[in-house]
Amino acid sequence: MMGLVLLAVLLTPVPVASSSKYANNHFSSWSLEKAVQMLNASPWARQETITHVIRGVGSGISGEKEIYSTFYVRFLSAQPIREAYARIQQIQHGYDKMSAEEKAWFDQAQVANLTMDTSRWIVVSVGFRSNDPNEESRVRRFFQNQTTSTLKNRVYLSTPICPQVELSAYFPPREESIGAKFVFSRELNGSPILNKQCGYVAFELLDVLGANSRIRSVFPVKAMIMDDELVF
Amino acid sequence: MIRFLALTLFLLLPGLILAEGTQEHAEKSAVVPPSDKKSASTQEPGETLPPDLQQIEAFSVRMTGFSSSERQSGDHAIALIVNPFSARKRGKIFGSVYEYHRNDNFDARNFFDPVGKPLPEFKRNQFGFRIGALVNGKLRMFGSYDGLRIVKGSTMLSLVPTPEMKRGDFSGLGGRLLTDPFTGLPFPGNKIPETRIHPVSAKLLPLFPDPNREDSARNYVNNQPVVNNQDVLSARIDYELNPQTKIFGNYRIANGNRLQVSLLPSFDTTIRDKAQDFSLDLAHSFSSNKVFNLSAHFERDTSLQLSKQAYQAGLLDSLGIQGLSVSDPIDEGYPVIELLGYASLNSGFGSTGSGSPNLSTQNDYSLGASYTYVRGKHTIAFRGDLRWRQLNGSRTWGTRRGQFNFSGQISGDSFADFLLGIPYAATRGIGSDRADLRQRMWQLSVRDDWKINRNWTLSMSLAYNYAPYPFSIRDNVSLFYPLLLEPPMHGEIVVTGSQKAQELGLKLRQGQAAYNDKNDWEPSFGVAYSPFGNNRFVLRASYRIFHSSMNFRQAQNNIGRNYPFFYLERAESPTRPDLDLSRPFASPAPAAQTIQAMDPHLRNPYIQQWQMSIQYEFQRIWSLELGYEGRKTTRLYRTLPANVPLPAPFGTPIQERRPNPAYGRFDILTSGSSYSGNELSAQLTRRLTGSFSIQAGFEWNKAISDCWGWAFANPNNPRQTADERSLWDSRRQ
Repeated sequence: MMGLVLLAVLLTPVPVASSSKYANNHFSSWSLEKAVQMLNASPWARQETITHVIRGVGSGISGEKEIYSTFYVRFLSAQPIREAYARIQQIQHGYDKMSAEEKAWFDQAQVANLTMDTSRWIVVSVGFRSNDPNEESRVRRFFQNQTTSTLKNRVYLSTPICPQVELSAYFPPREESIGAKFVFSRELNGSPILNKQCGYVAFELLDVLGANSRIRSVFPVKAMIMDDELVF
Repeated sequence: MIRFLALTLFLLLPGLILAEGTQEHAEKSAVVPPSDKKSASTQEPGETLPPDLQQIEAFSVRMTGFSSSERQSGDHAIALIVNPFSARKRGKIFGSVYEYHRNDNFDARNFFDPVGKPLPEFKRNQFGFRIGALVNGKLRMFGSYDGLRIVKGSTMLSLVPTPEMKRGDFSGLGGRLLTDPFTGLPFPGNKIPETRIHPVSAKLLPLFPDPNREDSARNYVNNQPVVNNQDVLSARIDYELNPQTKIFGNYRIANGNRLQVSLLPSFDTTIRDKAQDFSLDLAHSFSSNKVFNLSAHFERDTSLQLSKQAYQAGLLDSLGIQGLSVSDPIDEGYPVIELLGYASLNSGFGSTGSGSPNLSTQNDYSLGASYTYVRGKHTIAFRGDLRWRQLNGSRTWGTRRGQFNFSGQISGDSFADFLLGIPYAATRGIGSDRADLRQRMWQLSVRDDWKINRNWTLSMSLAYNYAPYPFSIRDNVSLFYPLLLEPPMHGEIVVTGSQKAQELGLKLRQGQAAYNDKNDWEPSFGVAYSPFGNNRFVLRASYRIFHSSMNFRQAQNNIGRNYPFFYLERAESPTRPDLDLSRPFASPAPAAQTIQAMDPHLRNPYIQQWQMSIQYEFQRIWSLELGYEGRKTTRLYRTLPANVPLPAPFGTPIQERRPNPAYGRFDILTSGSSYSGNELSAQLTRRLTGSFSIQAGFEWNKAISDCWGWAFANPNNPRQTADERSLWDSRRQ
C-alpha cells in the first residue's frame, strides 16, 4: 500500500506556478503578503534551505541544535521582482495614504529601480538567512570577499541552450540592499541563452557553506512567461 | 587545510561556456579595466562601469529614509522578510533575547526508576542574547551570550552487596560456596568470620550503599542528578578598511562546569572546562583576479576533572595501603576497586577508571596566508600555514591512587575476595604522569583549477605537509632499544638524547620519541567531463593522497611518561592468595613495570582516495547520481603489546613466562596497520514543487582492516597480527 502511495506521489505532475496570477493588476495594488510571496516563492524566486545538526547548547533533547541556512535566489532582472521590492517600500512608507503630490515624489524615487536596464544582463540576487549567527557571519564574509574572478568557477547559470553561462560581473551585498548580485549575459554568440521553448533555467552556486555545499535553484521557464513574453 | 580538496574535487564542474565578449567585457573593459587595480566587487559606480552595470550595482532597496512618511514600527520585521541577508539599520543597535525551559512535570516514569518515589529531577534552562550594531558603513559589531543549565536525574543500575554480605554472611548467595583460600576448605555456613575482614576493606565498606531495589540482579539504582552548566560569550567585528581591504575579528570564551555521577554516590566527578579562541582575518583584493588572505588564530582549552574527594588531605593515607601516595592534594581520593559482577568503587571514567585528576591546557597558534590568482581559464591558489601547538601540564591515567582487581577466583566471589583483602591484580603509577608537549607544523600548497573547454575541467594540487611528532620539553622520553617485538627482548631502556642513546646509534634529540616523517607530499587530481556539453550529464573522477598526523591525545600516552620518569607497576596472582590489600606491591608475586613507548621509526599514516561519479538530470525534475569511492590507508597507528607471556597451563605465574621477566608488558606504538574500503552509492531525487522533493538513496560499503578501532586497540594475538585482518562493520542501507 505504501508503495502505491509513493508511486502515486512520484508520478504526480509537478505543479507549475503560473505567472498569470502575478500580472493581472498593477503592483501598487498588491498586498504585503503578495509582494512577499513574489520575493520568496514565485516563478522568479526560490528558497533553498540546507540543514545540519550541531552538538552544544541547542534545545534538542540531547542538546543538539538544527542549523538551517536558507538562500533566497531571485531574478532581480525580472520586472515583477523589482515591482515587489517597490511595493514593499510603498507599504512600509504608507504610500497608500499619501497625497497625490507625495505619491508623485515617491514614484520618482523608485523609478531608477523599476526601470533598471537589464536588456543585456540577467541579474540574480542571493540573500541569506540562518538561525546560527556564526553561520550568517561566515556567509556574509564569504560574499564580501568574493570578486567576479574568484566566483566564475563556482557560479553559473544553466539553460538547455547554454548549459553553463559564465558569470559576467559580481556585486557583493550592501547594507540594506538586496543581497549579492550575480550578472550574466543574456546572449551567447549573438543568440539568447533562454527562450520560451526551454524547459528551465537554473542557478548554481558552490562551496559557500563549506566544500560540500551546492546550491541549485531550478526555475521552470513556462511559469516565467507573462503576456506571451518571457520575463527573466 | 587540504581536507577540503576531496569534496571540492567531487563537485567539479565541467568547462564553462564563454559567451563571446562577455568574459572579456567583464574582466577587461567593463568590470576590471587593466589600468584599474580595484576589484569589480568594489568598483565605485560611475567610474568605469557601463551604464547598465552601474544601475545593477547601484540597485538598492532602502527600507528607511523617506522622512516625510517614514514608519519606524515594523521596519525590521518587514525588512527581514524581504532582505534577510543584510536588513539592518545603520547606527542602530539590534538584538534578541531568548529563554528555553524544560522540566520533568510531564515526563513519564522510567521503567527502572523506583516506584512510589518522585521522578528523577530534570530541569533545563537555555538562555542568552544577541546584540549587534552596524556602527557605520564600514564597521559592524556583534556579540552574543548563550547559557545552559541542566540538572537531570540519572538512572544507573548496578548490583551492590547486601548488608549481610558486608558483614561476611554469604549464606543468601544461593548455591555458590565460598572457600577459604588459605586452607582450601569452605567457610562454615558460607560466612566469613568478621575477624577475617581485611582492615582496608572495612574502611571502604561504607562506600557501598544498601540495595534499594527488589531485583536480585540489579538491586541498586542511583538517581543522583547530572549537572551541566555552560556559558559562552562571543564577539565579532567586521571592518572595511577600504573597498579592497576588509578585516574580520572573532573572540569567544566558553566556561563549563559539569558534575558526572557514577554507579555509586561517592564517586561523583567534577569537570571544569574553559575555552578561548581569537582569530583575525584580513582579505585584500589587489584586483578582481588577485586576492590575498591572511589569517591568525589562537585557541586555548583548559580542562580539569577531579574526584569528589579531591583536596581531602590524608584520605588515601588513612586507608593504610602501603606503596600508595599522592603528590598533590588534587590527587586525593579512593583507589579503584574493581569487583567482577558488582558495582565498582570507581568514578567510571577513563580506561583505568581512576579518571581523576585529569587536567590539561592546550594552546594552538596558527598563521595562514593564501593568494588566489585568476588568469584566463586558470584559477591558481597558493597557500601556506604555520601551526604551533602546546600541551601543558597534562595529567591523565596517573593511577597514583592504585587500582585493585577482584575476580572471585580466590574464594569463589569477588566481593568475598575484597572482604578478605586478596586482589588478583594490583596496579600503581610511579613518578610524574605530567606531560608537556610541543608540536610545530607547516604546510605549503598550490592548486590550479583549469577550465579547458566546454567539456573538460581539470583540478590539480600539490601540497607538502610537515607534521613532526610531538616532543617533550621536559627531556623525559625514553625508549626500549633496540626495540624488537619478538623475543629475545634483550634491549635496554635509554633516555633519548643521552650519551647512552648516542652510543647505541639513536640520533633522537632530547625529548624526541621518533624520527620525524619528512615525506608527506600530498598530490591530488580531479577531472569533470560533460560528453555532450550539457551539464545534465556529467562524469567526475578524482584521486588524491593525504596524510594523517599524530595529535596530543595519541601522543601523551607514549611521550614524556616513560620509564624511569613514569611507569605503571603491576602485580598479578590470578589464582593464588599472594597479594595483600595493605601491602600489594611487597607480596610474593613480583611487581612488573608496564612500559609505553613509540617505535622510533614511526611514520605518518597516508590515505589514498579515489572517486568516480555520474550525475544525470532528466525531465527537469529527476536527478540520478551514481558514485563510487575507494580508500586505502597505509601505515595506520597501532599499539602492539610486546614481552607477552608464553602460553602455559592456567595458574602458572605470568611474570616468569615473559621473554624479559624484568619487565611487564610493553605497549609499543607502531605504524604497521592498514585499512581499505569501497563504497557504492546511488541517489534518485524527484522534485515535487519548489519546496519539496523526494529522495531515495542506497549505499553499499565494504571495508577490511587489521586495526579495528583507533590506534590503541590492541590486537587479540600480537604474534599473529595478520589474523586481525577482518571486515570492517560499517555497512549501512
